[in-house]
Amino acid sequence: MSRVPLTRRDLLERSAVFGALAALPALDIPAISAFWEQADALKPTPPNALGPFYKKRAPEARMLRMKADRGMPLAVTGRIIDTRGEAVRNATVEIWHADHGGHYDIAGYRFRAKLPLDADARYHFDTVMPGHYPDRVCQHVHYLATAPGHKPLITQLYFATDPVFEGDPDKNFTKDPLIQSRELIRPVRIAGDPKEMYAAVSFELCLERL
Amino acid sequence: MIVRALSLLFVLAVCAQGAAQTSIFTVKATGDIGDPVFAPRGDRIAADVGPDRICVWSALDGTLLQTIELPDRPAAKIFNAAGDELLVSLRNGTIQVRALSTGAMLREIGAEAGQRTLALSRDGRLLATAARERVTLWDSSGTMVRRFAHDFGDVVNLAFSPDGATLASAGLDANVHLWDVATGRRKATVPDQLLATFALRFTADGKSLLIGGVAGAIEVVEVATATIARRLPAQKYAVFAIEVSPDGESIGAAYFNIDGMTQPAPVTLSQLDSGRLIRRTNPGVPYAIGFAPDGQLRYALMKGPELTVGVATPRATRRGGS
Repeated sequence: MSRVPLTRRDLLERSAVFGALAALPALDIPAISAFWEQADALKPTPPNALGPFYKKRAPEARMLRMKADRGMPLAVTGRIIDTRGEAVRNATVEIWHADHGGHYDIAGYRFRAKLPLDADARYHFDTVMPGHYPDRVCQHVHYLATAPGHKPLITQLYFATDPVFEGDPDKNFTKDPLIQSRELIRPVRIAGDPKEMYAAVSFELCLERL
Repeated sequence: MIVRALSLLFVLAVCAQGAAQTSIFTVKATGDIGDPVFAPRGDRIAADVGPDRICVWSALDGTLLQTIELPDRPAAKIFNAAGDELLVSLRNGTIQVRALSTGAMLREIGAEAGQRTLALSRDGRLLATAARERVTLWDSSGTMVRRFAHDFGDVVNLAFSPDGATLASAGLDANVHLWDVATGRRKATVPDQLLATFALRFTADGKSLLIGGVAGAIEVVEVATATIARRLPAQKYAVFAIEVSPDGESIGAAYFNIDGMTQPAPVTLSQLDSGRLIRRTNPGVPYAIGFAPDGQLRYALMKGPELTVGVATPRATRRGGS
């Protein structure tokens, strides 16, 4: 998620509007307000494929990792906002991903959850770094976010540390043909103490209003 | 003695299963093969060849019947009931109806881009298409009649009931809906579906809808009540195609491997009434199935420019070319 960049052309046009406002009081003020509102809008999180393994009725959970699970512990945090930057408190967020070996749990709900949101629409969950599903290039976590008055957001979170990117996701993100946006690849920070290290990732979801 | 006899029977059974996977022909095309589909009668098969061409072969012996050049990449294609027309949706949204005798275009419909799922009513009067979560219904003149939608995710399969009154849709949102074609109203949603369904097939009498997907079991849905009447034994694979034999007594199913869709997966033949598994073959990675007019279940495999059609009973292998 990022703000719409303010270009040199935008600046010139905005300056012109200010000049015109002073000179021509009969200008269409609502249109100008709409322009400003749009210019300040956040970009919705890019969508990405739902994939075939979505499963309904995932249990509400934050801790998806069990003691015996293989794989690097992973903590993901984020917030659900709309294009005005306001918290979407009534959103429902579901996530699912493959285990360390790249297998999806079909029979049960391992590594599947509906995420509780706090009063500021923030979420977090603890899991393991997903493995590489055999027919996909990159490690990924699926997201489905829905909220009344907003378009459903189906997307995926990718990891900048994925070996596929060879340390340069800017250059190599197209190695996975399903990744249409570099924005979905998030930096990974190593956190915790030396005995209990984990990967930490932040992924904010920006929903588009209907 | 009994143990030896049982061991021998086991070995014979295993050998019989192995021998049951037989290719009847392989054709080598001029470009990479993609997305093969059988005609409803099972006597023809069409597949993408390279980026903007479709070839149609006899599914009985591999004879090339037609080559269709397209102005854009195909997104999906289906035969009409008689198997003499091919409907092709292009990536740009155009849907073309081509005559297979000449390859000529008969009609063209302008739809929005990405119509990746198509279904045609048996009488050919209604066409259903799906792009992402939206389903559009068209009449034979190419006029849009109705629009339906799933909650989210792509609609991956559509099927008309034999009388054309009901349209079934399956989506990645793990829902299977039944729509009243005349009113556009959603009549019912098949209950207790937790995972995505990929395969939809009405029985000839229209009373049952056979569905299957990631859960691995073929379920028999009673259309009148939209309830699951029976569930056939599940395989440890996802069902992606179901066909009913011409005599209505058997079900063919093709699967994909959940732990990697390009990994080998089986094709099965089961009795519709009892659900008993008649045969299970492991041909490799099946991409399509169809019952031939003689009642044999055929499957299509593809590798690079090669398309192989196999059958569950041994036949001579021959080679052809496009």
